[in-house]
Amino acid sequence: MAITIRLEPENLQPDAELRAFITSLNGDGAVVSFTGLMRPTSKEGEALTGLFLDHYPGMTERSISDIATDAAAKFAVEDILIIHRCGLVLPGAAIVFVATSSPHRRAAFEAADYLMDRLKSDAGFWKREDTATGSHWIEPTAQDAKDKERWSNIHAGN
Amino acid sequence: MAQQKIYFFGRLAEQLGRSREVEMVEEPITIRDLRVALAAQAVDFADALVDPRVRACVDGVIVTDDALVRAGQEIAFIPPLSGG
Repeated sequence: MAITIRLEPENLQPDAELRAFITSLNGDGAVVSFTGLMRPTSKEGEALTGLFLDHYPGMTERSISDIATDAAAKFAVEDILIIHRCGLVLPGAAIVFVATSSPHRRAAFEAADYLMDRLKSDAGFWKREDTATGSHWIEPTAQDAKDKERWSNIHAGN
Repeated sequence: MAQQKIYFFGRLAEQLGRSREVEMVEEPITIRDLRVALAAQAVDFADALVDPRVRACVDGVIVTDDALVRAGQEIAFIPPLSGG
């Protein structure tokens, strides 16, 4: 069991990360990965020039690590890798990469799904959408809270 | 009186700067009283720190307004998290 968390201030390359993750495994039969990309438009349909992710060094890493530890307790996964961008992200670029491994596929799928729902609401970031005419800070949405709620009745061992 | 650095993140950092040196008028002090003391020290603190959605962090952990802090601890004020 290994949990790896990294904040990436520059460039996140999901393909290279996935290859390295698979290479590092020791006998697992399943790997699931998720890559989140920056959408080029806001919820209101405005064109975005960038997304700035502010973070609190130490606290942000801890928030992500807590989420990974919870996932490891709930699902029979072997390894978890979470890499999250910080700083300015451009449209189309990867913001987050999550990979999970397990002996059989179900746990890896569920853990990756769970990790993303938790990261979307509980990761310690403050996001600012930049447009050609200005910028604004965004807060968690009701949908994010609902996605997280999906997991509230699932306990370790289920 | 002890000088204390207070950190800000997200939109608060944009409004107030990443950190500011303030006077700790008394210590230990609750976060609730610290908000009031800071609001008295600078006009721009008043608006930012009375917002109940703005939470305090002490040594990197989110705390309630009842928490006591001392000079020398790492103190930050944060807006609601946007998530990842």
